[in-house]
Amino acid sequence: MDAPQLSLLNDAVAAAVRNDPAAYLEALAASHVLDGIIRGLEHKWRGMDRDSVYHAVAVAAADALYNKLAGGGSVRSPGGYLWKAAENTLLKLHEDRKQHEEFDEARLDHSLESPGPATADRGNLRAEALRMARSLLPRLGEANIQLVMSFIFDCLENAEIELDNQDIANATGLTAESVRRLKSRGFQCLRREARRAGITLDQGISDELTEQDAENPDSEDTP
Amino acid sequence: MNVEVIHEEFEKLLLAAERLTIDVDVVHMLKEGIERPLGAEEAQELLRRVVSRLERGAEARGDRERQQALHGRVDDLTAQAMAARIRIRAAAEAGPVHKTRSLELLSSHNGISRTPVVPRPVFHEKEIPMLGGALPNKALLSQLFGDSQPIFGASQSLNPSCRRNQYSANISSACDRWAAICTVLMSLSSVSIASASRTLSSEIRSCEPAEHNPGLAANSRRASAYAFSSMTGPICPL
Repeated sequence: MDAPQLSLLNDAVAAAVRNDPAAYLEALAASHVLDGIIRGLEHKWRGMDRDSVYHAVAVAAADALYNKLAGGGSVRSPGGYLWKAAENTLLKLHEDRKQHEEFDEARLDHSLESPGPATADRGNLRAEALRMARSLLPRLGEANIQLVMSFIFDCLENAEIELDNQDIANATGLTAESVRRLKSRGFQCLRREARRAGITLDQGISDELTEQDAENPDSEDTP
Repeated sequence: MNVEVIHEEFEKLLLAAERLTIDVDVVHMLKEGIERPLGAEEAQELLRRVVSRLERGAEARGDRERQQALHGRVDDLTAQAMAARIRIRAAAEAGPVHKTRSLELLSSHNGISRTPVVPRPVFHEKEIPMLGGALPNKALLSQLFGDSQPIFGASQSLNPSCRRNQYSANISSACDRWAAICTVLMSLSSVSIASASRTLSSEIRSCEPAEHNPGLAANSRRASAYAFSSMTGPICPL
C-alpha cells in the first residue's frame, strides 16, 4: 500500500528538480502526503492552533520542498523534509503569536529551524546558546557522543532542516544504529550537565527518543 | 545579555536539535494521509493554496519558467491534482492487485541464467524491468492450458510417413499455441523475448521425429519468426 505513495513522492521530487510545478502538484496531491502531515500535526500539536494554521504550514512546507529541489538542493527523504519544515513553521508561528503578532501566511518561512524573528539580537542569542551547548560537550564523556552531538550542532548552525541517523552516520563513520543510541544518550547527558551548570530546563522531547530506544533495544556499538 | 533569556534560548536550541534529528515515520504519515484524507473541498482549497504559493514564490525569485507554467492555471492544475487523488484513492480502496498467474524463472538451465534484460524494454515511455531466463515448460503450459492437453500433440505411435505429416501439422499448431503463450509471457513481464524465442526453438526440436527431417530447420525458423512477430506486434511494433 505504501510503495505507490512513496513512489509518487519520488515523482514529486523529480518534477521539482526539473522545475515542473504542475507535475509536482499532481504527484504531491496523489501521494496524500499533505493530508498525512495535517493529520499528524493535528494529533501532535492538538489544540495548539486553529485548523487553518495546519493547512497553512503544510502549504508552506510544500513550497519549501519545491524551492529547495528546483534550486539545485537535494533531500534524503521528501516526506521527512516536508514534516520537519511544516513542524518548524508551526512552532515559529506559535512563537510569533505568543508575541502578539498577527498571523500572516506570507511570512511563514521554512528556513528558520526554531521559532522567533531572525533579528541581529536573536542571532547573537542563538550564537551564545550554541557556544554554551558546545562548552558542555566535553562533559558528555564518551568521545562518540561528543562527536555526534557536535555534528548535530554544526548542522543546526547551518540551518539544516533534515538530518537523519544515516546522515550523521555517514559524516561520523559510525553505524546508523550506534548514532540512534548515542544521540539519545547525548541529549539526556546534555540536559543533565546543563542542569548541573545551573541552567533551568524543561523535559523537552528527549522522552520521544527514549521511547524509541525502548522499542529498539541497544545493539553493538561500532565506533 | 540577560541570563534567563540565554537559558531560554538554550532550551529552544536543544528542542530544535532534537526535532532536527528525529526520524520521521514517513510510511505511517502516508498511511494516515490515505486512510484519513482531507475532505474533497478541504483538499481542493489546500491545493489551490499550494498553486498560489508556488506562483508567488516564482514571482519573488524571478523564475519565469515556473511562472509561465502556473500563471492563470490555478483551477486547471487543482482539478488535475484532484483527479490524481481520486485515482489513487480508488486504487487504494480496491486493495492490492493479486497475480492470478505467475511463474518463477529457473535460476539456471542449460547455461541460461536468470538475469535482468538489458537494455530494459520500454513501454509507453517507461522502462519496464524484466528478467530473462529459462522457464519450467511443464509448469508454464500446465498453467496456460491445464494438465490434460499434450504440449504439441506429437504422437510417437504413428508410422514414419504419417509422423512426418503429423509433424508438419504439429508445427503449425505449435506456432498458434506459441503465439498465445508468448502473449501471456509478455503480460507476465517476467521473461525476455530472447528467452521465449529460445524456449520456442527447443520445444519445436522436441517435436522432431526420430528420422532426419530436411524441412525442420526452415519450419523452425518460420515458427520462430511467426511467434516473435506475434509477441512483439502488440507491444512495440517493428
